[in-house]
Amino acid sequence: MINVPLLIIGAMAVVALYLGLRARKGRQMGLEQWAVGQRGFGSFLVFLLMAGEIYTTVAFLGGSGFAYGRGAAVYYILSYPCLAYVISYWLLPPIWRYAKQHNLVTQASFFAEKYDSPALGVLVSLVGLAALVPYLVLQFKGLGIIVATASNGVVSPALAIWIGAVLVAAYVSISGVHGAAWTAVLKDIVVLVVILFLGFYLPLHHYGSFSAMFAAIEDAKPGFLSLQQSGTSLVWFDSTVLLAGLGFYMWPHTFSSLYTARDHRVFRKNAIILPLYQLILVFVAFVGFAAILKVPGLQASNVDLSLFRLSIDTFDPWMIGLIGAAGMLTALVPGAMITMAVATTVANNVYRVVNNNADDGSTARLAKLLVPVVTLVAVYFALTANNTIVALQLTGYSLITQLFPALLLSLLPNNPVTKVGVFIGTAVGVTTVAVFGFGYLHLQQVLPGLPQAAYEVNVGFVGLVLNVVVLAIAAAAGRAGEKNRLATGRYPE
Amino acid sequence: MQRQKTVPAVADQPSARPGSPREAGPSTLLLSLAALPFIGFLVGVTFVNRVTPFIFGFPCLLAWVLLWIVLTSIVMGAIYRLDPDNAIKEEVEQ
Repeated sequence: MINVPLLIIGAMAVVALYLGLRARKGRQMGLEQWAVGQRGFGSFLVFLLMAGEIYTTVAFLGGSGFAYGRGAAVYYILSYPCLAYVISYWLLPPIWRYAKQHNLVTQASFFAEKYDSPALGVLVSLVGLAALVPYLVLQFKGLGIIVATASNGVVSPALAIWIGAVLVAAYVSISGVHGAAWTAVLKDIVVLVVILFLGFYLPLHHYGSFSAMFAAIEDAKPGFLSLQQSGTSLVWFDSTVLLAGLGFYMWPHTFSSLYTARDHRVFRKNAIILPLYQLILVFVAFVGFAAILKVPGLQASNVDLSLFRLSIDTFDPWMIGLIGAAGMLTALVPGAMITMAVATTVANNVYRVVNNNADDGSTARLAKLLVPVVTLVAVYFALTANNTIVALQLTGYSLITQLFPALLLSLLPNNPVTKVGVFIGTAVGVTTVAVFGFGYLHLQQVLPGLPQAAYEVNVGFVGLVLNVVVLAIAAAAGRAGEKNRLATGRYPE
Repeated sequence: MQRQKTVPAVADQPSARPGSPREAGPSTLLLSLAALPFIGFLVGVTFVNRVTPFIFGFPCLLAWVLLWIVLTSIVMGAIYRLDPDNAIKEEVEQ
């Protein structure tokens, strides 16, 4: 018997691999070509690379799963990118200019160069790795769910994860960012069509109209489509939206994908179009909402299956195959970008600091060799992790946003904070997230007696506040030192 | 000790930023426009955090969020139009 969905997913995987490998054609893959496409991508590819960031498995499975499990809390996925786009208008052009002037290929190099501190580059690399690994894990985890569910269990999640990992490692090693860019084109087309179709069809087919669906949910679960009194409350929503909005461009792979641009004007125009482009994510939420009453009872990390469970109840196998193929692409493309960012960062900002003699050629070779290693690490965690997709993503955001204050300060004409201040501030923020975010301690234990709302603040946001406090103290100390030097007329050598 | 190390970094900075045209920073008007989505998403939601009344069939909070996604795009379009920086560049192009 032929497994139709599996056939379609397999065919799409072959097309993706072909596009990825073909992208290399006729190019010498030096470090700059491999990692940032020689800074020659036009507005279309840059748009897709950067916009593609929102159509990941987070959106596809995580978004519908979160809508299913938490109701209105899912609106955070629609909201924070908008704030990020507003900031991007002013944030991205100066980053791009500086990176071009200094031939940078990674995010960590940006910090190292701005603060004249390779050590800070290492710290930024580590923060980036700590945030990216869960993010990569969730792409693979999503991939496993998608292929296993769509193939009706013929392919186990573990096998799917292994196959996906091999695909990613192959085309990333060979074609670098060119491979990711061309599969991103395929991905966005397929995913947009599938999401729009599901978002319209499932509510209309099962409920008759959108308003009937919302009314039915309100009947069965009153208040589920507004933010809750506790847990995913308004305070949670605000702190999460702000945190993720600030952190949006702090992901190392997103940061370096902006280096690929040929021209910085593209970022400003993108800021106008991107909010509308991601409006389409609302249809993902609709799928999750539609599933609430039709496939009830999914618990814990199984909520991520809601999209598929409802689809399987509704569609013929070939449609399941197409949905599965779209889902697979949402995992492969970001997976490729992340793998590449991790490998380049380790080679360029850690290895090079340790081994001063390394030239561009050996760094590029090492980066490519690291690709399969990074993939293996992610596969290991994907096979063992048991969190929901959104939980993994928010952990990553909590960590990565800790880099935002230092980045913003570095763009000021006169940065009031030195590398030492940034070092401590970032370390304090990240430590806070590690201690509270991974459940070693709860805020209630350290600061009992605060109003309930205080405990609902996103832990990454708490870290961010402490981070900024440290930076403010460092800035004040720096200014006092400056005055002192002016007064005594003595400058340290 | 630590401060000594930082002096070269500070001294290096001016050379790292050859006369950028946007040194003056965005105007108050542009910044006020940019603040609107933040107010809409972060402050506005506190007033509309409810399911009813349904607006065009959408729960109240969802309708608000959707409205602000569209408004964000419009605000960014206005900022792009009003920013003198873009006008200068387009003249240069022609």
